[in-house]
Amino acid sequence: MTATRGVLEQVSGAIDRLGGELARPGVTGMDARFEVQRWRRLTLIDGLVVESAIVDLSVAAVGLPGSPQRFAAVDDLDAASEQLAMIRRLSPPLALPARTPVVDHDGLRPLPDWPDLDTVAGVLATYHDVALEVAPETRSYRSFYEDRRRIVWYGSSDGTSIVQTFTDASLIATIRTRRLERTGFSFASVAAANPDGLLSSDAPVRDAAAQARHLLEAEAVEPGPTTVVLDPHMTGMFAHEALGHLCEADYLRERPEVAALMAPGRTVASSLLTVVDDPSRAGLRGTYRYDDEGTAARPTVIVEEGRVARYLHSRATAAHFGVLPTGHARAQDCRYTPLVRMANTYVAPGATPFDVMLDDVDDGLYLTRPMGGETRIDSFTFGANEVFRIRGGRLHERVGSVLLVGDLFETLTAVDAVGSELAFETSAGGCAKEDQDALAVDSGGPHLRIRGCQVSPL
Amino acid sequence: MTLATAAEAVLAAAGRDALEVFALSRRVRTRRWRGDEPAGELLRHERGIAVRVRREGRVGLAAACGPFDAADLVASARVAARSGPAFPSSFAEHPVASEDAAAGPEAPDKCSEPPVRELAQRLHDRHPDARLSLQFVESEEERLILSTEGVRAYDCRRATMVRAIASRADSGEVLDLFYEAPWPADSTDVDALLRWLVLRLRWTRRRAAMPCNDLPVILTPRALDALVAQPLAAALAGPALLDGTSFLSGQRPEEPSVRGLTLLDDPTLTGAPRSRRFDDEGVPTRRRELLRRGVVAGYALDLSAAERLGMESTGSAWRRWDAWPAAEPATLVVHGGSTDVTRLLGTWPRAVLIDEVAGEWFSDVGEAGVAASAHLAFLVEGGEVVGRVRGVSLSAARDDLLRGEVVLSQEVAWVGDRALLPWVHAAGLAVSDADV
Repeated sequence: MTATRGVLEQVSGAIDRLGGELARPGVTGMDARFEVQRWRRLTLIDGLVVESAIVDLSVAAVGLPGSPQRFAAVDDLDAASEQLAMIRRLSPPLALPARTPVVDHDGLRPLPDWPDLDTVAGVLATYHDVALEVAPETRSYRSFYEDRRRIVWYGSSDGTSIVQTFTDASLIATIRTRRLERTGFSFASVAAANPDGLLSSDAPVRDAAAQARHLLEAEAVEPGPTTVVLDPHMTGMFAHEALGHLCEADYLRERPEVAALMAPGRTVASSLLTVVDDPSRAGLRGTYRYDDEGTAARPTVIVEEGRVARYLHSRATAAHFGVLPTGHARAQDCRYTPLVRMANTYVAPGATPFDVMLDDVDDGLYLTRPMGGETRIDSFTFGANEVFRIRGGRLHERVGSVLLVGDLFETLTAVDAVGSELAFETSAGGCAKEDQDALAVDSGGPHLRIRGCQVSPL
Repeated sequence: MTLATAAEAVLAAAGRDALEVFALSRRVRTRRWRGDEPAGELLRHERGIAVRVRREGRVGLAAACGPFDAADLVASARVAARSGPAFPSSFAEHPVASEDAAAGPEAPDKCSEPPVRELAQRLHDRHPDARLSLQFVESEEERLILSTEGVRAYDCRRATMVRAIASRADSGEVLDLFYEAPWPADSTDVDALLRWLVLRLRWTRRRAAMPCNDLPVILTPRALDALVAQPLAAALAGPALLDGTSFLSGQRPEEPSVRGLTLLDDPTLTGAPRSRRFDDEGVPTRRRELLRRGVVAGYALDLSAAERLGMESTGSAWRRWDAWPAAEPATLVVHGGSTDVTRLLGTWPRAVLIDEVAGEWFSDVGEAGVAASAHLAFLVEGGEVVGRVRGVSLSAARDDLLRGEVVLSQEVAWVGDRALLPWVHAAGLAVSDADV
């Protein structure tokens, strides 16, 4: 949709208006944000468009950093000014350490042009043809395309004023096959900052269709403990779900029982495992220069050689734990208060080349194409869509999809080899926490080998 | 600008195109306590407006949150329509009973304060080592739907949900027990909530081992919801039926068996947070059977899905302000049976009680089977829960779950805001423990 005013004009207006309010004498400890976000969405079922949408979001937020109960998100600047004055009147600022203000308006530039929706719909329709060509047994093909552009201003009463621009395009395609009573399911999930690049290759759809076809005849694995080798994407998902969430300091502040399990220095994994979250790593979906409280992004080692090293922090949690903020206060958009969130989480590479890692596996499974997972503190359930048998140190036939289940810390301690390569596989979707469900993140790592991992057929 | 003036402005910009406006305002107040100490309060107010335009045989949607120009919004919807679908070929046409949009919402009844201190104290008396976290979430949602085809539908709905977590650290393990239900409702008062938490805190104190894998399985309402009710609802909703992915695709109403499960979608249920007189496309809602004794009896459809399937909308459209409608049931209901829970647990010398499952969502609705792990499972002997068993996996053929013999408890309980279900013995479910 075309807004009444241009995007840059809206953002500049918010900087003048809310920045001016923050700069008034006597205003301390206050934050304000303003965001214009636009996105376009297409959904196709079996090659035909079923949904086409263009959406505009323009919202301002004011509040005390780290205080969800002193936060207001409103859809016009007059209301934002009123809320800012009211919060200031009613609430003393939180005691946070002073910082050096940053002014960085490099992001105040026009949003990139949109790809034509008709063209995108045409490309997605050809992907459907590709799926049918690779897997004639396809009985259902859905694709979901989304392209977002955001320009976000953050200002603080300490003089910090930052504008950042984000672009993010993603494609998810799901393919279901059937032959007699057997069914197969697989998916392609890709994302990129550049939408043209995203749709430049049909390879992800081709691979997913091939996998959905293979599952029609894949043998189911026997349930029980076995040696598994995770590909870099599975490794990244494991690091994010299993360790990343347990190192988010706002959660640990609320949950002393869990904080005791994750006390700094405590061994939670094999000494081969080091896990990092790095929002400053270029070119990934979780990349930013400053978080939503104006803290500069930098890498944080959360687990070092198997021991808890540091937590991820906002300004408020850092003050609570007596450390420096790590730049991980993030909000899905300005409608939400920033929470402590991951950005780009990965396992640091080790010393074992992939072929050497396989050499030591007489009988096991190689897991790829993660389906996501869920953890309940120290137990987990993860899914792998594409699985290969390892026999005699070599990859063999594909088998059916599997669930990995078990005790988190026991499983992480059973990692006995970490690959020497580091890869990120940028995929669509987002990370959910509390009422925010679509934060762009990335994850990756090297191959990992785990002994005695509980698997069951899916 | 009020919801009504914003929506009317968009309607006025329709020109000669068929047009539908959906305007939404949602206020949410979340209050949290740790024990009986207040731990925060969050207020959120979100307003948005969506317009669907039908032009040259195609439909497109544009939406805005924040300042907008009505003509620009309609123009964006026309752009979206250029690459949009042909469905629905008409928006809802029949006026429904509606409140007065111009008058806005009535003042809410004065809410009584949640009995936080009583809950915390009574739980502490029974389980001093458990820590209680409470959330009360009050929401007020105004919806206004207008169309050039004559629909004017407005309502304001309010609901309060309670979320409780009882946590206990036990020999290096941290256990969280979750409870979520409407507040207050017939079955969710202080006593019901406490009974729920206290029972589970007691059951999880002891460990037990599965003596064998060949045991009858009983599901609590929460496990029934995760393993059966929600997957079934997804399989009978528009999207899965449209592309033939539902494991129930092609099934048409037939002579029911005598033993299987009966599942209703009831948008008229008094006190249910999701009850409403019309759906998010302005179509009247009504109570419908989705499954009658194990056999498909109905669907959940919005206008687009219904038209493509050659059927009528069932008034099951739900939407956010920024997206197309999607069909889903309002409140899933399985009526209770004739056996009380105590007798149900004592029906067999030994049984496994499944209370919370994990990973069930990995099983695609196109699959004939479902697999999951049991996060909370208990061994029952002589009608008594003797302890928690870990490492239990679950699997079932979906057809067996629906059509196999079921024994239902008299008691029913809310599962979040979406389902009111009994305890059930489902003959089609198998459990296995790798250590047995």
